[in-house]
Amino acid sequence: MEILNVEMELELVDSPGQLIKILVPIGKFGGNIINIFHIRDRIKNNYVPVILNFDIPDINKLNKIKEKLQEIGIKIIRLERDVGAYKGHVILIGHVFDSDINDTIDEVININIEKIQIRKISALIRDPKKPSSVKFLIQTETEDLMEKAYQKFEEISKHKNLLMIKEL
Amino acid sequence: MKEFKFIIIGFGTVGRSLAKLVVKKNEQFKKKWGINLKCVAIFEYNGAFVDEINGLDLKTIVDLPPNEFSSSPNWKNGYLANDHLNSIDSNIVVELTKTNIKDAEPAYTYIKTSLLNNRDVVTSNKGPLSLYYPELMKIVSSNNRLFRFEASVGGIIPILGTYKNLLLANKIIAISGILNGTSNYILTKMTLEKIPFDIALKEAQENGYAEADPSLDIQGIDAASKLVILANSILGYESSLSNVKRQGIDKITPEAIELAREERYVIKHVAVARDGKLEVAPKLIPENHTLNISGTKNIIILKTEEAGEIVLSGRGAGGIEAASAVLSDILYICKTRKKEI
Ligand SMILES: NC(=O)c1ccc[n+]([C@@H]2O[C@H](COP(=O)([O-])OP(=O)(O)OC[C@H]3O[C@@H](n4cnc5c(N)ncnc54)[C@H](OP(=O)(O)O)[C@@H]3O)[C@@H](O)[C@H]2O)c1
Repeated sequence: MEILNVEMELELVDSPGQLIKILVPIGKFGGNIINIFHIRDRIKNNYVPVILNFDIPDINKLNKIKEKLQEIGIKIIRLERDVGAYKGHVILIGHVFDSDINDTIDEVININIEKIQIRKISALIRDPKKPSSVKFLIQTETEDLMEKAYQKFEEISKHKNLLMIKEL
Repeated sequence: MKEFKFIIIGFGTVGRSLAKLVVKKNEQFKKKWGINLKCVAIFEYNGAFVDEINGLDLKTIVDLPPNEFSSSPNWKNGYLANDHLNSIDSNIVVELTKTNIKDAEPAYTYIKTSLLNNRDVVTSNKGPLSLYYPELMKIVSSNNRLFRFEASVGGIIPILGTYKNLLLANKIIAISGILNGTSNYILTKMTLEKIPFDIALKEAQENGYAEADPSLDIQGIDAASKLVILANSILGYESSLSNVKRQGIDKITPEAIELAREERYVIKHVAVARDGKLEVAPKLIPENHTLNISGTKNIIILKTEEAGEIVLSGRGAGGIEAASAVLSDILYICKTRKKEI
């Protein structure tokens, strides 16, 4: 699934209750806030620069957010959204933890070298003797890299005899 | 009035349902279209009903159990399709024997020789189509034959007819779907009731939704065969069953379904044909995706170049649904040939 990773710099009046004004429209249009920085050492005329980092599903939603912010009188100083990002989930089923969990995780982490990030690993194990199910959240910069990540997972699954389920 | 002589091979669930439908509807066809369907032979594995001159009285045959076949004056014991199929005068051969995905026999030979002997053919059998599609199509075109197989892609969704009649101006670039009711039923049960695969399968078998040997369904072989037929006839591929990358659903755990649910995904056994590649495998699908259908339903999504996505969905087929698709194919052939006269 494609997502846009956005970095937005704004000027806010340096008084309580300002931040919430901008977070509401971002949340409303599906933005997922990752980081917020107040650059206090650059306060000028009672305005504080704020840098927001958030994920957003598509450009239309981003445009809606921009419109809304302008409507309520917020000044956008800088907007970078060329840091496109792709996210994908993979679930592996089998004896992932049994014999060679370290190998499997190692191999998966080695994928990182090729600019493919594993952002999250979660597992559900009901019975250690039975096959376990492990979910990976992958993030890449391009669609091609996501394909590559899937291929890598496929190779690992093949030689460890795991069932791999990925997104359609 | 134009008379069309047809032969049925295989008098099982679909064959009998077809005979019943013809009994019920032939008068209508005569009145409406001037088409008279005359069944001249029904081949079974151990003999045949034959009446080349008057046509069989299907009413007296449809309900005969196999051990009473010989009570019919038309029954010829040991009279087999292998020896006699081509010597009986007929226009249309309707092939309805069991699916065999190893070598597609005996259906493959019956279909091929019928086409070579200038018969038009209708089948509900996936075997020959998923293994020998390109070869059969060559024979069809070099012999100027009509060959229809709507029932072979299962479901009651008239996908091939819809495509051939209504969508020709649209270029279809990809097909995705859920093509097997049994595996979808099992996955639906696992998801809703949070139960393991084995238990869901057992309940499916008890409720008549899965066969005693469920491997064709749960390993995705049935879906893969249907995908090959769809991709070949709609996307113009020249593929066969061995070209399909395939994964079954038997290793899926309730935990995997739970992990998927946390991300608002469901796990579905999806068939996909795109970019020349064919795959049947469990996939993560967003909960609100069109492919997220439940129970024994089938669904097919055609991705078109100009018209976005076209979705067709319906129940998985039983004998009577398959027979009605077969009968529609027979009528299509009759109408086409009648126009040519
Ligand atoms: N049933 C459905 O809902 C459905 C739906 C779509 C497509 N289909 C397809 O339609 C076809 C027929 O299905 P069905 O359910 O009717 O199967 P079925 O009930 O098993 O009928 C097949 C019949 O063919 C007979 N047969 C076997 N070998 C033969 C031979 N060499 N010559 C003549 N007859 C022979 C069988 O006899 P014996 O049983 O004595 O061997 C049986 O009576 C299959 O290919 C199936 O995949 C079925």
